[in-house]
Amino acid sequence: MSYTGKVLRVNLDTGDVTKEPLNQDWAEKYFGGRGLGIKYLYEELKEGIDPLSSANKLILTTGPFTGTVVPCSGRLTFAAKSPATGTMLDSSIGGRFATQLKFAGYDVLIIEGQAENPACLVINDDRVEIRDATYLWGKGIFETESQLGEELGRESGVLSIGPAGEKLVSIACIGSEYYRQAARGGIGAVMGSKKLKAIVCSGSKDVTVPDMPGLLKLVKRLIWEDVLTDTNLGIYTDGTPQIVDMSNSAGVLPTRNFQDGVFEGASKINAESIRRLKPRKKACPACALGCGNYIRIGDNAVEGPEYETLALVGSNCGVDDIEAIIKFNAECDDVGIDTISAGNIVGFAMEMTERGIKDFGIRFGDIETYLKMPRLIGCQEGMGEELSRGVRYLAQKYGGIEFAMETKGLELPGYDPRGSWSMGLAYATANRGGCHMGGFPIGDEAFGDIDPFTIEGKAKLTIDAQHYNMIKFSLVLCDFWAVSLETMSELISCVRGREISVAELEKAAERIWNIGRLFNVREGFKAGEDTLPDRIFKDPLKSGAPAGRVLPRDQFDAMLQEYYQLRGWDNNGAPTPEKLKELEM
Amino acid sequence: MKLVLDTERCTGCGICELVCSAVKGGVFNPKMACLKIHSGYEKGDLVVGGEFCDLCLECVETCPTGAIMSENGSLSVDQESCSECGLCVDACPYGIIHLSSSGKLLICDRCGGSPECVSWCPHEAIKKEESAT
Repeated sequence: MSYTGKVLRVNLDTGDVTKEPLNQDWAEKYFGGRGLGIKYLYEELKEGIDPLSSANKLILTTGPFTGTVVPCSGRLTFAAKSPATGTMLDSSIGGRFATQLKFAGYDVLIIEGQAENPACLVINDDRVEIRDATYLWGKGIFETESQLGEELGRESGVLSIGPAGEKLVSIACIGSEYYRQAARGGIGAVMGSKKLKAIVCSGSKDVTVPDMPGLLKLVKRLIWEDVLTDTNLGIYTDGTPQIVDMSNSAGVLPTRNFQDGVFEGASKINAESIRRLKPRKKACPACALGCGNYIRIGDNAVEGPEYETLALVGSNCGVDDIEAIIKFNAECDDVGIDTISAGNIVGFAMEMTERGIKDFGIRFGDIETYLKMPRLIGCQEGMGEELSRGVRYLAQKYGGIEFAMETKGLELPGYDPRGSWSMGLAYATANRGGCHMGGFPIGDEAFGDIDPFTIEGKAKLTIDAQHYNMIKFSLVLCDFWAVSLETMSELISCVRGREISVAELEKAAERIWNIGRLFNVREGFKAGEDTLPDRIFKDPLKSGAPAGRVLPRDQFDAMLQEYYQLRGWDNNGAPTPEKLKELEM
Repeated sequence: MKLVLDTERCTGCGICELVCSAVKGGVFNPKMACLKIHSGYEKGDLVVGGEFCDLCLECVETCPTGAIMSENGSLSVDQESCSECGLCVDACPYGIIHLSSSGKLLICDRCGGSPECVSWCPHEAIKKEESAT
C-alpha cells in the first residue's frame, strides 16, 4: 500500500516501454528513494561500465510517502553510476515530478540505453511516448521547460538538461521547475549521454493508504507540533542562507578556495542580505515548510541562492556581491551545472592564477570574468572546456594538487573539515565522493555543542548521522524537516499497515549504506581513496575558532580505522561477509 | 461561506488538495479535490491562483434529480438521490466537482462549516469569509 507496485522501464536503444512489478522484497528492505535506487543500480549494472555509455542506467525513484500528505515527502531521487567519480551516484530534486510519477502509477522509472536522436520522454498515466526533441537540443533549461510547459501543460512535472548535460560535462545537473536541481556527480551528463533532453510526466490516478483516517490524524498533529516548530521554521523564513552566519562564526565557511574559514564579506551574503531582496516562498508538494526563496533581479531569477551556492560561488571565490552571486547562480541553473562544483572549479582556477602556477586569467573577486564562467564551463567554450573537467583533472594536469578541494573526484561542499573533524570523516567516507548529504555530523558538532577538534566519538557520530540520512532519504523525506527516528517509524508503520520499529529502520539504514559501499568496492575503490585534500591535513586555517588548526593526518587515519571497525569492514574498507550476513544482504 | 486564497501567503504545497481528496474521496489525488491551486512559474514570474466553489449554482441547476442543494451559504449533496450522471461535473465552470471511482459525488460542502483546506493550510493562505446574508 502507498506503493503503486509498478516499475516503468524505458529502453532508448530499442524504444521498448515495459511495465513490471516493483520488487517487493527490495521495497521492504530498502524502502524507496536513495536505498531502493541504489539497490536497483547495484543489481542491474555490470561492473566497470563506462558511465556515459549505453550500459549506464538512469533510475528515478519515489518513496512510500510520495503522493500522500506526509510532510516534506515530495522529492525525487536519481541513481546512476557517476561520470564525475566512477562511484555510485544518487542525487535528489524537489519540485512536482515525483508526485506526478506516483499519480501516473509508477514507483520507479528506469531509463536504459541511448536514443539515436535527441528525445523527450512523455508520460501520461498509462501512455508513454518517446518523442523527438531535436528542436529543444542546445536550449537552456529555462527555455526548454517553458516550451514543454506550453505544449504539454504547466501542471506537468518536467525534468530537463541544459547544454552542459548535452555536452556530457561531468558537473552537469538536471533541472526541474526552472530553479531546482539534482546537481551533483554529473547526473545531467548521464541523461545527456542517453540523448534524453527532457522527461515530462502527468498523472491522474489515486494514491491509497491502508488507514486514511489514522494517517490524517497523525499527519495533522505532526504538521503543527513537529514540522512548524521554531527550529524548522528557519527554513521557511530564511531557508538555507541562515547557515552563512553559523559557518562563518564556526570558522568553516570556505573562503578563497578554502584558504580561510572566515569571510570578511559574510554579512553581505547572509540570510539578512537575502531577506532584503524580498523573496517569495515556494514549496514542493506536501511540504508545510516551503524553503524556496524565489528572487528576481532584472533578467535573473533563482530559487535561492542556497547556502552551498553562497559559500562556494560566494566566499570561496572571494565574491561578496549578492547580485553577482545570483546572476552566477541563474546562469548555472540555465546552462545546467552544479553550483558547488562550479564554485570550487572557479575558486581553484583563481588560486592557481594568483600563485602563478597556471594563468586562467581569473583572480579572487574579479566579478567580470567570474560571471562569464558558468556559460564557458557549461558550453565548454574557451577555457571552459578545460575547467569543465573538474578540479581533480585540472590539478593532475597543471599542479596545485595540495589545494585541489575534492574527494574521489567530487568537489567539496561548504563546510571546512579543519573546523569540523567529523565532517572530514563524512566527506572521506561518503559513497558519492566529497558530499555533505551522506551524513551531516557538523550539525551536532561544530554547529552544536560537541568539540570539533577531537576525534573522540567522531566515528560513531558520523555513522549515526549517515544512518539517519539514509533512512530519511530512502523514506524520501526532505533534509529540512528535523524529523526523529521515532516519528519516521510511526509514519512508515501507518502507511505500511504493520509495525516497523526504530531498530528495523536503523538496520535498513545500515543496509542502505552498505549497498552503496558494495557498489564502490565492486568498482575497485579502496581504503586509500577515503581521504581528504592535502590542504586539510597540512595547511592551517587562518581565522576564527579553528585558527592555526589542521585535521592532523594521523588523527584522521585513526578516526577512519575506528570507523571501519565500527562498520564491520575490513582494513581495506570493504564490508565483511559476516556484516553482510547480519544485514541480510 | 466563501473560501478565498491569499496568493502572497500560498506556497503552492498543495496540502489542501491532498486533504480534500482524502477526506471526501478516501484517496490522495489532487485532481479529485473540490478546489484547485495553481502555483508555478510563467515567463519568469511566480504565478499563484486558486479556484473554489463560489456558489454559482450551475451544478444545482443542472442536476436532474435534485441531489445537489444550496442552503445556508453552502452546497450539500444527497448521495442517495445522485444518479451519477456526471452532468454537474461537466457543468462546474472550475472543474472542481468529481465522481469518485466508487461513484460518490465529491462537491465542496465546506466540510459542514469547518473546511479542512482552511484548517490544514500551514501558512493560513486559505481563509473563509461568511457571506453577508
